[in-house]
Amino acid sequence: MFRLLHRLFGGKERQSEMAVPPATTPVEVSKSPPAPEPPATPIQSTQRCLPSQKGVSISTVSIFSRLPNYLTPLIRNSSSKQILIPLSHIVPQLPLGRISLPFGLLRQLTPPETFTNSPQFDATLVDLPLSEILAQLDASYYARRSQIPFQAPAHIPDLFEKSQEVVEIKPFYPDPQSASSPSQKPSAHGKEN
Amino acid sequence: MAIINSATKEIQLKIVYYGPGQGGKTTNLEQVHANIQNIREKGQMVSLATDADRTLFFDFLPMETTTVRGFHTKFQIYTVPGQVIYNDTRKLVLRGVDGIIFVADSHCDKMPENIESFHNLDENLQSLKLSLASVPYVLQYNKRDLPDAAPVAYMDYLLNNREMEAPVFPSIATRCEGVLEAFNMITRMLLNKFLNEHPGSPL
Repeated sequence: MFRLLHRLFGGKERQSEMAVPPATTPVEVSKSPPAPEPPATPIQSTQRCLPSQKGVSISTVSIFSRLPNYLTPLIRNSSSKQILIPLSHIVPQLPLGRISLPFGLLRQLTPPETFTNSPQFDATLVDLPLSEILAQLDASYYARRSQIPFQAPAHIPDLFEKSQEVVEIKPFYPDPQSASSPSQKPSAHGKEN
Repeated sequence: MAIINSATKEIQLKIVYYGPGQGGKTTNLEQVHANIQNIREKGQMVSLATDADRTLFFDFLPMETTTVRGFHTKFQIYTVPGQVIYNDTRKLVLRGVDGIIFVADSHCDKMPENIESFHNLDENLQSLKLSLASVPYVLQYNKRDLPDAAPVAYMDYLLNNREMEAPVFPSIATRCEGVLEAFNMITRMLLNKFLNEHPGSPL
């Protein structure tokens, strides 16, 4: 009877732990392809790193290479891991041309053995590899506002073509004499004969 | 501002290459100097650089290319030193500017410098009672051959996100790709502006 109750309640506790991971739990993504058999859990869905969902996957090695010199001694495990950077940290920084995270948050997002457990530099901002982030991020996250489109002045030709002919800009506005005669329309542009 | 000399029948227009340090401004000017053929007269390129080939003051290239309503058109082409410390020089070079080619570095890590330089350009123009709304400019996204080049759409988001869209030219200045295209466009924009601003002049 006791064993039966233990199995029932103990099993449920484990299930609930898997379904709702604590926010600070580092999410690690293996480089090997996912096993086909296990059903998808919430953790596995974030591991796919779809930018439209949770975040962007970054390799720790590319972050290590950007650490300032005084932070590199804090690396305990330099093996390559993938970590998930939440979009909530990335998107607001896109207009700055640089994505960075406080070192303390980085320590939380990486597996526990990655850095020494020292909070001394937790406020230091660490740059993340923008190229890796942009490669995964949908362009709609950095769409331009609606603009007045540029229109090239069609009546002005390119002055510097490959040919050696010198371009001459002819009168753009009609002078009174030619305006009175429809057969002599002034050309807005043209090349020197 | 364009200088019109009725006595010598000359129009003089000033173009400035602007952008962050080591973005390729001087390379652009060298390529223009080396590759432009169809001009009446091409002056010597003057360059004042440090031992490490960083522009110390400015590069300068005069050229005469075309006639507008019978007036010879001369382009004075300058670059500015990109390094942050030389802002006074940049302001000096910008005086009397007619058009700007902003050369941005496409490397992802250079995006903050591109933004800073673009803001610096805006500020310096305002200090001269000018603005990006009144001075024609084109954007040239240089070094597109780099493996870590940022997407053009992202650079547009950072640099070409004003009310008026600016023409954009991806380029590899070392191979002269996109260089003459950007230069052609700014000269067209300048001549167009000039003709619009002088509709009834005897020019």
